[in-house]
Amino acid sequence: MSEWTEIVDYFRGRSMWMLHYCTGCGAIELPPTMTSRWDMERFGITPMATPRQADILLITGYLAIKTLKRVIYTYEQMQPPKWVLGFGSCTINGGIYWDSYNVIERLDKYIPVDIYIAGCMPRPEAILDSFVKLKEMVQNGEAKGYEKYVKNYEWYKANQDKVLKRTKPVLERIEKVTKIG
Amino acid sequence: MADILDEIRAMDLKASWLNDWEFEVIVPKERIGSVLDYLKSRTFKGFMGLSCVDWIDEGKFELVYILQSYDLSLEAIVKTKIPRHRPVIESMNAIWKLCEVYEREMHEFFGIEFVGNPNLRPFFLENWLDTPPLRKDFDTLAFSEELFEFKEDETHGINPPERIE
Amino acid sequence: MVIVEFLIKLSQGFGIGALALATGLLFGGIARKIMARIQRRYGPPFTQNFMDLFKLLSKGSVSHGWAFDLGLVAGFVPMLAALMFLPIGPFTLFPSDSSLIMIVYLMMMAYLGMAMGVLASGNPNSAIGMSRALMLMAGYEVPFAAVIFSIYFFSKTGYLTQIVAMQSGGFMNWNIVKMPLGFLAVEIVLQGMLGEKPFDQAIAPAEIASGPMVELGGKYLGFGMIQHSVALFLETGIIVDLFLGGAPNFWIFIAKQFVLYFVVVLVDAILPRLRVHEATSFFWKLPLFLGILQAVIVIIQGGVLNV
Repeated sequence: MSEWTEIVDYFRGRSMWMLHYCTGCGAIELPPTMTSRWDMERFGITPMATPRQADILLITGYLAIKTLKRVIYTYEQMQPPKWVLGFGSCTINGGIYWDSYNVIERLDKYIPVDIYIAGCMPRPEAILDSFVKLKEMVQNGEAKGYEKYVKNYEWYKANQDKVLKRTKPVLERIEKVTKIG
Repeated sequence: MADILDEIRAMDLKASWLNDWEFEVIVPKERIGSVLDYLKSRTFKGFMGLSCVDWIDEGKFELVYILQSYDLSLEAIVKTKIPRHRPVIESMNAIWKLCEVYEREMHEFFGIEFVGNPNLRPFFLENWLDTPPLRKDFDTLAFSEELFEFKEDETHGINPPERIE
Repeated sequence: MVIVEFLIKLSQGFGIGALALATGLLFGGIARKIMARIQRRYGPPFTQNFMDLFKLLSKGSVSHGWAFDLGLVAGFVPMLAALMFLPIGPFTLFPSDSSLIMIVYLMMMAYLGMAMGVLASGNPNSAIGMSRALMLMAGYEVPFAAVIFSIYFFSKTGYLTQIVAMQSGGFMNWNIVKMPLGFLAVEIVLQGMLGEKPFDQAIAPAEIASGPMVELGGKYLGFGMIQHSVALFLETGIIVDLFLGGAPNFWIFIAKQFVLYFVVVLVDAILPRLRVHEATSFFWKLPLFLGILQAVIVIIQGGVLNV
């Protein structure tokens, strides 16, 4: 049975379809990665149109609270096995939006991230490097973020709810906004 | 071109050229509607935007209306100050319907109340319960530390999250 | 003895299915490589489609109800059934004297089955995609019918094996020489049948999120890929039998298929997408004109001049 798993993992690593969630500024790095200059299709990685078809969720750049909600929807629509790549500093620690009121700091508190690509912006070489690394991890059976998500769903859900379902102000209100009676 | 400024000054308002294509007019809060109406009748038909500056030391919000005249190729910047502790001003949506959207945004980010605007629902922020975030007294860092658990130490918050299995 | 014969037929049927699938996947992989080279990329290995299919079948998947499952099967089975009537080289599993009309009918059934399946998913994008696919089908089926009529009238039979036999004895006997206009029409129709640019309105990825496939994931998408590969084999195969004189063996058969598909890929590489009503009205103009002209020529040759 383990030989069969190895074969499956080998082919999964050779054929990864990608959904890129590009509400951040990193989207501009993807066209050169896809087209003739760097050509990611030689690794079997193709952009896909919908989450149902995709294996990789590539999150480029910062996520606001509003977009985090959509990312979680998208991630949960994807079929296992699925992997998440966090692209750019903003997904690691908020990047230049570290003290922003509306940008999350660390992506893998909300969904499991398999690989982070550091940099602001990471160049296409870095993206390709991460694809190759992810391929090795998948073929060695190491990239198991989607299993972690199922196992620790309560932890992730609590983190998501803390941000998305606030019922009272986070800080004490300094000044009442005047309402017209 | 210069006569428009003279006309405004004749209305007992402060006005001055910023450069050769835009000028600013400083208007008391009570007269803002009539001044904007007057400027609209004097070919300043384009409403380009509404923004707000938080002068926290003065205790005032400054609302900035930017108008454009396509006939004269001029831009008018109309400024008015309202008290910070009671930020209320009349809505301009009777003059430009477009104002409604800008006022909705200013209401969300600064908490300014526009009397006569029927549409002051939440706009960009989701589920926002705190102080309006673009006010200077809103501590974004404390908010970020509290909600997103950001830590400003030598690790820059890149500690792995709590050990989970 | 009947049971032995049945088992032989059954295994041959499975063999043909597997062969068609493998050929279709290989063609798809080579097409991706050609496309990459046209765009000055290195491109994926030509076995990429096999790896993709394997991965898709190993993925998890979500169903959208029984009509969804049934629709995909109904989209796939008629393709396989049509394959049983197709002379592949010298070999036909079920020789039948109405095999031409049978194949054309079953090909249309496959699309209707797929339409049922993807509409059951309830996604508006798949509904738009499917309506575009059916509208396009209304476009290309008309010139295709005109060409089929010419073939019928010329050969006086709908028995594909006999049509192939009539073309034996050298290049000059092929229908492509006897009916060049019909071949031209059918090559344009093939572009539409395979959904390659400029007729890829149904699966426009950036526009309607890959249309009918929008809710297909994992094994279902794998099924879709199998269906596309078999359709590729079938649709190029029938044109080889009708116009390129069939083939003495399997290798020459797929070589001829590949020549047809190569032209399709080259056109695909350089043209942009038409809007769907433009595509349909295009099919009703140039290819239909060519098809009808061919039919008129055939009727005058055969019926009036008795050549």
